Order: sequence, then structure tokens, then C-alpha cells
Amino acid sequence: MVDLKKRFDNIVGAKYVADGVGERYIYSFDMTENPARQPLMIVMPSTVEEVQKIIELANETLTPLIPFVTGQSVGGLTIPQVDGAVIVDLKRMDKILEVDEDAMYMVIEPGVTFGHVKRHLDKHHPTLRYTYPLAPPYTSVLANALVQGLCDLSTTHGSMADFVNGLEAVLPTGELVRVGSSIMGDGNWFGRYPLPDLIGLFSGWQGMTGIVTKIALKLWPKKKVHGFAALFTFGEHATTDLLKTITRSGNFEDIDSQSLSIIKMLLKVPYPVKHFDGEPDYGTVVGYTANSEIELKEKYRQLEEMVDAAKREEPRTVLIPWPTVVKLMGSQANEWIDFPSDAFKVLAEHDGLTWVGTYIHPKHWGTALEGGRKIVEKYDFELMAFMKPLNMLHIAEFKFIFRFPKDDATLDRVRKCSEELLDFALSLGALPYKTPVWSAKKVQKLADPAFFELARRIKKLLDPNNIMNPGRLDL
Amino acid sequence: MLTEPPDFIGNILAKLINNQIANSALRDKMQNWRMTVVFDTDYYPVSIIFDETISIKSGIVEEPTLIFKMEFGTILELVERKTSMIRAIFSRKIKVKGFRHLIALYRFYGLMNTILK
Repeated sequence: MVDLKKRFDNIVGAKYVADGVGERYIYSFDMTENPARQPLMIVMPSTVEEVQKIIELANETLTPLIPFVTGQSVGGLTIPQVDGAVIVDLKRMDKILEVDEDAMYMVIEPGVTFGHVKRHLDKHHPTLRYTYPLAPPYTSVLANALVQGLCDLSTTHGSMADFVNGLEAVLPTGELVRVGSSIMGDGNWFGRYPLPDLIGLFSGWQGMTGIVTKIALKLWPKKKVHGFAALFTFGEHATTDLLKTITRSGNFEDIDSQSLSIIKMLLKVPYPVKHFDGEPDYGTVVGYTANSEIELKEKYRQLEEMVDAAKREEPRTVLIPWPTVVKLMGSQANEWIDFPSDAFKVLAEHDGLTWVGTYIHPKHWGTALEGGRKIVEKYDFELMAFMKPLNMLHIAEFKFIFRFPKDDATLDRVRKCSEELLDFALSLGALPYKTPVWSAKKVQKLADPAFFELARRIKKLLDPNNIMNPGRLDL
Repeated sequence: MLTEPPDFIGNILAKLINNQIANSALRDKMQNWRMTVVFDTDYYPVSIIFDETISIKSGIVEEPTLIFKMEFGTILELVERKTSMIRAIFSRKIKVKGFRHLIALYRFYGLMNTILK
């Protein structure tokens, strides 16, 4: 080990290799229920060449490597699955390399966060915007795209993986490759077609197929005016039915729905937040943009019309324009819409935080939500469902989140509840995302085995020594 | 400051009242009020209890001084100034029980007009 550390020291400098008890402990766990495991050491490269040298050394010494940026996946995705692993912390690679206003994309390194991107675009390219997740501003943009996370343009444009134009990666055997249109040279990251779509060799693989060192992501024109409204609804099926109607109208950029308990957390109701009989079940933020005030008003009018139709079934449904929301809830309501958002620090009330989230066929959305709610209530957790229509509702998404103290009894309850939730979702054909290993095992039991056999073959082909994040997805 | 209760409507009402409690004249006045007011909404009822201090809890207290029956949507209309308390009462969007407690009614009407501005 001493020899290995020296060799890593020679690559990145001794200052950027850590094997102290404290550092190894910090990198051994996240907030989830997934079991901790200490890495051997942590190395922090700052260049692509250093990443290549790290991978070459790992191949020579058969050292498992785990790519890491800020560790905000909340899925145990950077916890080593084997002993003797080295965490490759990429946060020093934090440059926004290019913003192309013509083709509307940016090329960034792994350590670039949503906070960096927002500040950079607002300052230097105010007519363009990226998309932001319901996550703190210090989350890695590249990591979120590669793990197929969600964002505030997902309702219209899909998962963040759908924003990837191309990337550069160091393969597990050390070669540097690009996929997408940048194979024709720099300044040319306009798209991933017409080519074999090899983004798929890196998207959703949880770092098992190499270390991505650059990624090109789509940007979008920023419209002149924007509006928000809050919708309060009752019942799972009535809620999802209304959200489907609103989504399919095509007028609304973001539809972000959550259990009322989460809104009450924003109102600073203390833990544990319980549901009261008669309260609305869900609060949804509807975001929309336009090129003029007239267009904006018309979009709101159409939204009102859809809500009025839903009121015929459930008269208590209400739509509230944002200025009224702020009047009622106070200025902290704005944290609900100001992405990237740190409003949900309320989720970190305890040392434990986890979730079961899936992409699901829209026809099962209401059923999944209703069944999930019963399971969460059975285990007596706070009711914290999030849901979002993706890509104009070609896909529906829902998740249940838990914040909890990490004592043994609660951890056991969290694990049982999560397993029951996932079993129920899988029975509806849903697929978990940001999948921890325990969850991937369940998927493999039910899914077409040919898919996972293909995945194993690809992994073996790219990574013959199995050094890149071994054990992920239970491959 | 009024403790903000854990239910949705109670919490919002408490926030609205707390915004005005900074006004010491109003706060001093309210300290002398002895009455209970029920907001009987289509979501669920909440009770506001004035008894040296102010507290809000979900449900209906026994023998309230005043009962205001209304939809949550009407509260929103008041906040949005699409209607006023007096107009909502005359149009029966707000139904009031307890007219015999005229002082209480006058006080609470004034408070609502202040907090829902």
C-alpha cells in the first residue's frame, strides 16, 4: 500500500492523495441506508493526463477505482463495493471549457457544479439557460447527467441524460475517446447523431465503463418572462390525471409535484410532519415561460381552465398564482422555485436520507403513488412523495423519500419499507433510477436476463481487469 | 409570536397573523381579547383562541364565540383582493355564526382585514 500511495503521489502530487483515517471514513458512506465500506485511499487528479495515468496504474496493480465528484447521489453510488478501492475524486477538474451560443451547448469538466453553471451563464450568456435539479447548488452537473437524474426541464425534455451531446472519457484500459460530433474536432460538440449512439456506453453505468473527463450538454434559450403557480390537489388518481392533462397541453415547462408534508417542511413545520385529515394530499409547482406578458397570461388562463374542469370532480382543488403563494407562505416559498435549490436542506434533518424512485409507465402512475403511500403509512414514515412527468409524459416518475436517524431499528425499518416499495413498483413494470446494488439485484431477478448478459459482456470488453467501480448494478 | 401549528391552514393563518403582530398596537389590543373563532373551511376546521396569548389548533373548540364557514378558495380570494370580507359575507361566501357577539365580530373582522391585505 505504501508503494501504491507513492506511485499515486507521483501522478497527482502528495498533497492530493489522502489515506488518513478521517478521509477514508468520510468517503466510506453517504446518507443512505447502504452499508459503508472504507476506500484504501483517495486521489484527486486535475488533468485528463493524470486520470489516464491513474487508470494505467490501477490496471497494472489491479486496483479498483471509483469515480467521485461531490457524493450527492443519495444512492450509495460512490460507496466501494469491494475492499482495496481507490476513490478518484474529480472535483479539481472544474472548468467550464466552452459555451457555444450558436449550437447552444456547453462543454464542462466533472467538477463543475450547478452553482458554477448558473453563475457563469447568468454573467456571460444571459440569453441561455441550463436545467437545474431539485438538489443543492454544489451538485456535479456531469454526474447528474450520467446517472440520468431529473431537472426543471425534464417535464418537457426528459432526463438529464437526454441533454448530453457528447463526451470524452478515459476507458478502463487507459485510452482517451470521444463520442458524439466532437470526433470531428474541438468546437464541434453539436450532437450525438448521426452516429452509433455510444453515449450509452457511459450513461447509466455508474462509473463502470471509464471516467468521463468532459461532457457537452444542451443549453436552451431563456425566454423573456416566466411564471409559477401552485396547485393543491386531493387523491392520487385525481392528481395524476390532472397533471397528465396539464403536461400534454405542452404549455408548461416544469411540473413538480410533492406530498403536502414536504411543503409543510418548507413552511418550517418541525419533524415529524404528519398529514391532517382534510388537508390537500399534493402540492404541485407549475412553471411556465413566454416571450411576452400576453402569452404568459394566456398560458395561466389555460391552466385555470384545466383546473376548473378538475374542480367538477373535486371542488377543493385550488390553483394559486405565485404572488399569492408568497403572501400566504412567506418569502421562503421562493426557495421552492429558485433552482438549483438548497431549500430541501430540511431533508437533512437527521444523518439518514434515502429514497426509492422509479421511472414508470404513465398508466400506472396513480396506482403506484396510491400503493406506495399505503406502504409508507404502514411503516409510519413521513409521507414524502415526489413526482414529475418526463418528456411530455412519455415517462412518469415518482419517488418516496425518507429522512431518518441512523439507529439500527430505524435503519431496519427503512430497508424493509424501501424493499416493499420497490417490489410494488417493479410489479408495475417500473425501473429504479440511481440504483443502489440491493435494488439492482431485485431488478435482475425480474428482468430479461439477456439484457444483463449483454451488459456484462460490454463491461468485460471495456474493462477486462474489472477495475472500474466493480460490483455496481450487481453485474 | 404565535406558535405556528403543524397543520396546513393553521400554519398559514398563524404566519399571516405573525406578520402583523410586529405591530405593537395591534398586539397590545389582542392581549385583551377573550374569544374563540372557528374557521370552518371545506378542507377542515381550525380554531383561533384569543386568551392573553393567541393559539391556533385544528378542529372545532367547544362553544366558539364566532364561526366563519367558508371555502379555502374564499380565503385565497380575500388574499388576492378579488373580494373583501364584507362583500364575501353579504354574498354568503362566508357564513358567520355568532352575530350576537358584536364586539368579538368587530374585532375579528378588523383583524382579518388587516392580515389578509
